[in-house]
Amino acid sequence: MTVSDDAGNVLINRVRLTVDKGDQLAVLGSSNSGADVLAETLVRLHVPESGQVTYGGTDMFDLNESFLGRRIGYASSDVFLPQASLRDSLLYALKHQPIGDADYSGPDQLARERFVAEARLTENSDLDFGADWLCFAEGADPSQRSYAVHRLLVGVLEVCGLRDDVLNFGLRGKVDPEANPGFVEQTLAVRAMLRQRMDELKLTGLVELFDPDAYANQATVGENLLFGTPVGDTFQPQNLVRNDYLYGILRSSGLEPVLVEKGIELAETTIGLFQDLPPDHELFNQLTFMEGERLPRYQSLLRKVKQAGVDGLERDERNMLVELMFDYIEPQHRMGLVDGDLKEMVLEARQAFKDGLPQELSGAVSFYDPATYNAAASVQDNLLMGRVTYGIARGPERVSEAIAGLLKEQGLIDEVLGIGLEYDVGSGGKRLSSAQRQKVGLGRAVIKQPDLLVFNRVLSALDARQQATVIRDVMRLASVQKDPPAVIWVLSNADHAEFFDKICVFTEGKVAEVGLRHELDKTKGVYAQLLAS
Amino acid sequence: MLLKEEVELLGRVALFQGMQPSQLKLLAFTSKRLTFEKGDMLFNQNDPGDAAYVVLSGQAEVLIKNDDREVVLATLEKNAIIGEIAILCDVPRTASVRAATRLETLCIEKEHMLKLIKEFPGMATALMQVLAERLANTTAALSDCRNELASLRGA
Repeated sequence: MTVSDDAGNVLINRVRLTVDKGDQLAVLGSSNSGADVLAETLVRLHVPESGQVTYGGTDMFDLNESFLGRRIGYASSDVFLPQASLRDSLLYALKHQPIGDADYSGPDQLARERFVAEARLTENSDLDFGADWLCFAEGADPSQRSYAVHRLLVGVLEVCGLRDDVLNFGLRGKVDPEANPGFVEQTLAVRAMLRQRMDELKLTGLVELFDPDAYANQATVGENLLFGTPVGDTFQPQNLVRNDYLYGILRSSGLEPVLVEKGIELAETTIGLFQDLPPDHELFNQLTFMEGERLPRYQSLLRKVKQAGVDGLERDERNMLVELMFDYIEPQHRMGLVDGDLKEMVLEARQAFKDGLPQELSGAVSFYDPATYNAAASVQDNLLMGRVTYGIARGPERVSEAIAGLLKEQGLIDEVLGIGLEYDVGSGGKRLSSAQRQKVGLGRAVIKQPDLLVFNRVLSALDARQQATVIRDVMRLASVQKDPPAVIWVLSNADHAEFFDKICVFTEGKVAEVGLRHELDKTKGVYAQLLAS
Repeated sequence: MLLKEEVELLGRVALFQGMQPSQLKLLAFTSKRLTFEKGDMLFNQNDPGDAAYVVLSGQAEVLIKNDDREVVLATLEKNAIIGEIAILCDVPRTASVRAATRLETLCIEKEHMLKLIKEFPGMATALMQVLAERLANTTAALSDCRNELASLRGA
């Protein structure tokens, strides 16, 4: 076949290629060699100017889209994801039409009937969004089905290198303890185990465990006061300082004037650091306790302190200084503002805050308690009930690895992956990184278990080593399947062709070389040159 | 170690000499403290370079792999800067660096460094002077090597 673009430039020129079922073909070539165009033409993104693409002897353009959609899996580097959970983003590929009717009763049934009637009158689709669309052959027994779907998803996550990402989403997710009593109980057991085995898990020094009687160095001053997760708006960090109850505690404990003094020091240092930068400079992102546009307000506040002294400040102005200190973390900001005396005062105030919390505010904070599950906190926070220490190389990763190991040992990992699969990918998948989006694109093609998989430089956002791992795992899975699919993979890196039996090299719109890899290895052709370069 | 002390230490690093104290402070503030345990890798040869490290305490070894054999090229100590070329231009790491003892560093991310340079042209001039001096030294060393090689060949 020959393929040209709209302007008549020939993109691939008289190319003839046959791929059999189960073939694993790597296509190599630079970005304008025609390799990408080949992949796109195979999935009907181009119409050949002459010649044809046949599938089992039939011209592709004579085949029904619903057939091609199921039998061919395609992914390129550019993935579009509509807003959905990660689970639905992956299973989307298995949803073609409703496979049964949803059960409706009462008013829901009436609403559904009206919807169908109206859809038919207006010649719209009456397919039901609420029905089960999942076309999934295995596990016909309904009781086994959800487990089988979960296994399928986990398998795809592993192959696409998404498992760790999803585990992290799961660890960052929240769980309703009433809906999942079993999970809560197991989480608490793992928490206790983690505390007992800190040394063995190499977490000593890497994690600071929360202790109601000790100042948490790795947490902000405000967090140390509250010593819990805010529920609702009342005690959110930005509202903390304006809360009258907390203000009363700060005054009666004598902490307020200390925080004001330290806040002045913090403001002075910060202004000294940042005053030469424009307020919208990107480095302000590094500043967790002050927004760039608030800098001038703090400058005038400090001038007032100079003229009228600290006693001349209004409550609002004092609050601005306290607020700065509330977001301060000594190991992160390193200005020497948290000392033993301050810690002691904060601990006293913490106790007073908890003891005197009025009834109407008791629902506004969920206290850190080593013995109970904190519904307002993430799964990871519940497992750790502590913080990762600042400034240790690969600290957060090492903690995640230790937690993952423990979850696996305790058989909890599937549940956490299940929570992670509920992660909302955001509009257009924007809550995922570009690498994650590409991996989801790949996963959606793999999950179909089609006859033909076409991948077009699908993992460009990953580094070469990560790409190699994913390619190896996908190819391994493809070869062990009962009915192995044909795979045509356009690669950017010739080294990755080692996972394929057949290789085809494109140059200037033509096939420069095609053959079995172990044979091309021996000849001194284009493939050998690509490998050497 | 407090920010103040880190600033002092940065001032002693040759690459940053000539920078204003206020810029050094900002550089220290935007940098991260990072501790490595003995044996931890700071980075591997051919990795993309995304950060430079200033040694605060401990020792680091620079090594290259030759046919699966490790060769330690140098050991770096307090005040040394590691991987600084990577934060100024896009080149992969030319060698691997490993913590030879427990190693405390200040990690300067490329992104932050470039933003600072963009904001303060004076900083670029100061860096350029240090780099030009180094280049002059390297060129001199290279011509010495060439002369030596030529005289060896002639002998």
